[in-house]
Amino acid sequence: MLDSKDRAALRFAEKLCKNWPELEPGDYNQLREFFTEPELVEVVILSAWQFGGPAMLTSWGAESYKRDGQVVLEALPVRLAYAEIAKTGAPPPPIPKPPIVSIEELLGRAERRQSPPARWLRFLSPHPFLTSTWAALYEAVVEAGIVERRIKQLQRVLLAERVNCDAWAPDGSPALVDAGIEAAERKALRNFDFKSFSERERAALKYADGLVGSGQVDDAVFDELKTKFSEPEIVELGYAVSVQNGASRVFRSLLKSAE
Amino acid sequence: MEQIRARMSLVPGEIVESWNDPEVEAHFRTSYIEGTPPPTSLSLDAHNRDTQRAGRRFMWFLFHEGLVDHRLKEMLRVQIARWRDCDY
Repeated sequence: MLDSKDRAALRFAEKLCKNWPELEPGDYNQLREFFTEPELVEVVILSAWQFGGPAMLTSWGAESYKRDGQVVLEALPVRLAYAEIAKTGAPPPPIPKPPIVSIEELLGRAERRQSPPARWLRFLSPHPFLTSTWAALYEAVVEAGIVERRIKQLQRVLLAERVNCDAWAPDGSPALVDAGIEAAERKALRNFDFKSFSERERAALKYADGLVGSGQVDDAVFDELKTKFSEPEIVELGYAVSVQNGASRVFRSLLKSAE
Repeated sequence: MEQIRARMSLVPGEIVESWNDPEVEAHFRTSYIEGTPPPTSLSLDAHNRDTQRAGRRFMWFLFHEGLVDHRLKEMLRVQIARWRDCDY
């Protein structure tokens, strides 16, 4: 049985999925009728993650390891970690709480790089724990990691272009300048013209385009990706797009509040 | 039903267990009980330990802790998968 609170959250999520360009301040005000500001952040960030995260796992063929929607351990090509002890029914150890980084520290770094937009972190800030874990993921996969930063910054620009939100990856921002991304390259990304990029950059950009566009990545695109990147690198690229995919669309709608 | 192609390999258990990482162990062992995320997903993102750590910390506490009722979060998860036409 759905109550008014459930319906408000589902209404927001449905609009994000089906008609995200039309998200506007009124949608957040409707949530505020039922949720405190930290709760609102939780509903919004969960919806934003679910918008893009599962598509990443699907792009990796995660469903191929299930039978009728279930994981059947005996049918898998490898033994999974801790499978034996799980069968004994022994209770699992608690999942430790991650360290929390202060909002001030996160904002300071974001403002220096202009990546992610500081305004986005301020939106999340009523929920300090989520701000910290979201930002830790963003920094791990977009700003740090094993894949060269330029490729992930190119993906960020592509994403900003596809969701029509320049402010997600502003021209001239230190993160883009450091990555050597020029105005002509941004224009090429806007026009789906990848020919001026290296083969490795092209493969990463096509992968990002699949995740950001339909959420589906063709076999040919993934096959090309696998010829240019290792599996550890593909994991990083997938998360780098997914952490921004829904978030950038929400961010775009938040800017309307400022207009 | 069309057979879905495996695009990425699963990191074998002996490799993950050799890390002796209590946080990774807790995530895996909980996944067998909770079912979400499935242990196969953890075995996919285990290819990149730093990414897995950051990703799983974010997702676990987003879905399983926090301020909003877990029942509502589960509804959102299922409905968004439908609206996004995503099997996962």
